[in-house]
Amino acid sequence: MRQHRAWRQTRRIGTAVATTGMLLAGGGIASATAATAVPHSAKPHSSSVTITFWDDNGGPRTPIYMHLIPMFEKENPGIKVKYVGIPDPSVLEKYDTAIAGGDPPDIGAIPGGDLAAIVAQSALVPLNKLYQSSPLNGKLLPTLLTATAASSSNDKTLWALPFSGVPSTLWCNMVLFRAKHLTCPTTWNAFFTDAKALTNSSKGQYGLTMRGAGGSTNQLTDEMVSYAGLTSYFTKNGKSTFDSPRAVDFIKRFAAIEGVDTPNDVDNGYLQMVAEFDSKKIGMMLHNLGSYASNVSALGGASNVVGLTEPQGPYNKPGVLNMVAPGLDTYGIFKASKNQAADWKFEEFLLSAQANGYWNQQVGQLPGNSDVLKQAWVAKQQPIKSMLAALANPKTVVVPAPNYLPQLGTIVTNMDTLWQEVLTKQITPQQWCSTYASQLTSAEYLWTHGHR
Amino acid sequence: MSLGSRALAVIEPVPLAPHDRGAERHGRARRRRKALAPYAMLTPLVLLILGFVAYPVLNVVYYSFQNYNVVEPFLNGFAGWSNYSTMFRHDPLFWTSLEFTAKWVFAEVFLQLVFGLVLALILNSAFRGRGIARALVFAPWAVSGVLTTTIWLLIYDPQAGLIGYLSDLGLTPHGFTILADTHTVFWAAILAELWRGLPFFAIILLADLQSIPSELIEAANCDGANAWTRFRYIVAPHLRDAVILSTLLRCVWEFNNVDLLYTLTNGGPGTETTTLPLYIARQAITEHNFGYGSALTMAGFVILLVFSIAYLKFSKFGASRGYAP
Repeated sequence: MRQHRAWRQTRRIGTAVATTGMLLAGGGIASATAATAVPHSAKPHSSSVTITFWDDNGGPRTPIYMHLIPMFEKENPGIKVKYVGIPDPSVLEKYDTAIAGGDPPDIGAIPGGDLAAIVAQSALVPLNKLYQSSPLNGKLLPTLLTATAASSSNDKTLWALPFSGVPSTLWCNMVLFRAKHLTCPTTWNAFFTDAKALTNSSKGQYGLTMRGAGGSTNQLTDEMVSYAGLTSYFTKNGKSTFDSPRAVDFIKRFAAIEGVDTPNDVDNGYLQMVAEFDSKKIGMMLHNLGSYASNVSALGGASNVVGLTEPQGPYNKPGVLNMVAPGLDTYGIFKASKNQAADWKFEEFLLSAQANGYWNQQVGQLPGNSDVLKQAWVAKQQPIKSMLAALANPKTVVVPAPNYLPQLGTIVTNMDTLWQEVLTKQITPQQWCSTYASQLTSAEYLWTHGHR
Repeated sequence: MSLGSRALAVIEPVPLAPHDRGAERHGRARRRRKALAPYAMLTPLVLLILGFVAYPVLNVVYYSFQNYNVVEPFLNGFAGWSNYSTMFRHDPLFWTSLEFTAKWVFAEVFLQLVFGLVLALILNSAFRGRGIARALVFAPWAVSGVLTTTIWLLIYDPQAGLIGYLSDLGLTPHGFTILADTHTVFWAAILAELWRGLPFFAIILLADLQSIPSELIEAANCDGANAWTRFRYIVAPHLRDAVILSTLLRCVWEFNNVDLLYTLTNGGPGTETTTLPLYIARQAITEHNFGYGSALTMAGFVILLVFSIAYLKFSKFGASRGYAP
């Protein structure tokens, strides 16, 4: 089951590895002096209170929370949790509307990419002090914690806490690969060769399913960074690197296989793309860890699915992998809540090893709580192991995304539309890259010149 | 004493008895209440109109002169005419979306009217199973836009839908996605909306057809009029006002159509099927640019207002019944 939402916009940030990150101290953030506000009421109300919780991917994740919430309510008889599942594609719109109307939830799951936009509206409570004095202190993966703080502020304020990381993943249908005596590719050149080799359009079989509609830009960005060997979104003087010749080269090569080594994928959103891959007629899919469960289920077992990091680019030295930092999923408490102590109690529960382990096991993503990495299921999931190994590799270059830019979500949404125009040959790959780079450069300029 | 003084003396008011003064006061109060009653009865309506029409419109006017973007709060403030200047001079998507909207409205209303009229004429005639036929024709009207989209997405699905079967028969290329092709997406969307909108015309026109006095038709038959002559001289003039009103309503609704296009194509591929309201929704909701979105909304509002007034005036709506504007 894949969390398309987490994909959207910015994610990646932070992270230099889950495993090595665990060895680092996260105390710097936890003790940030900037975040001194403490939710009112130190203890939960003595009488029963009801808090409203928004899930940022209602539907696919609803059963997980339907399992966790009763557990929490049993442990905390004075607190009732009202669950509201928000459709994944419209999470930020729903938060914006609720904040503007003065009626946001008490606590909510917030995709890392949307965090900056919500923080910009002064809607969240800083959590540094609460985290510092909580049993959770030191348990959350420091790299994800750093990434969360960097998503929305430049002073280490934790406006939310991370519960999951979602690195970009190349999924291979091993039934088709084995039939052609191929292995899941680890270089981009092999990727393009395999995509062609696996395609037999007369039988409706294709090497790749591509994302053409909503969410495509986030995916493309990961691929472009990996292929072009980019080490940053910006040069030192704040100019975006996304219009470099290497980046344009990737977009050209990738767009050229649409409709050739892929079905007609121009209007593929997340659901259509995963549905195509799960039809067993597609060799590869570029997505993130979140679709692991559905892939295994649809393709007939874990032995038929392999999930690897994005391939190595042709411009890289051997063994060097550039990857955008994993996307984030976070929990935040809203300033307007009248039951912030109860909210925090619930957040602590959700981030505990037990609840966080259950959540990430169901979804198949990197857990936020480092204790979860000791749980048996982690070792059994090949894609997670692969991600952890890549992140731990000293040759891996983890490229943080500028999630702190509040305009980033808008920019990638605009670029989604323009990507369709590339695929339908209304604009060129060069134009797409130039527009993307120009918009990022403008947003970065505003940010670095104090417009926050 | 002059005559004038006598006359004045005559009309000098005679003091009323106490019970007469009470009746007078009572009468005045009753007349005042009677005079105020219409205003009192209109007040709730006026308040509702002010609250639900005037306030939102004025609010949009206000924001159209503001930079207001929730993700760029540092740029918020008075914008003057800059949103309008951007819209008219620097935003090609405004013009292309407006052009597509006009094309969309014309095609939809024209096709819905023609096919709706044909259906209404068929359903107005007597035949076996007419009740079931009427129910079937009207059924799509009860289906929501999003559900309509789901139905048509399934039909257009290259794997599982009608297109998939056509591919299997070799009539379309394998993997052909009608909604992803810039040459076919317009007519695919038109067909889906036609399916949903056609019953509106069928219902309105059928209702009007049934109000044609049967004596007129019988008299025409006696005079030897054929079907075309009856339609030309009796049915069409009778339907005139219904057609004017229903096409006006439908033009406004189709102009503002967002649900079907948003869910069916999301304005794509690219911006191929982006109408002005869809563009407004994208600016305001997706991009959080409420200032520019408000300016676009004002453009749409003025266009519809002018169009509606002009359409009613030049079509002479209600002229035959004496209530033309």
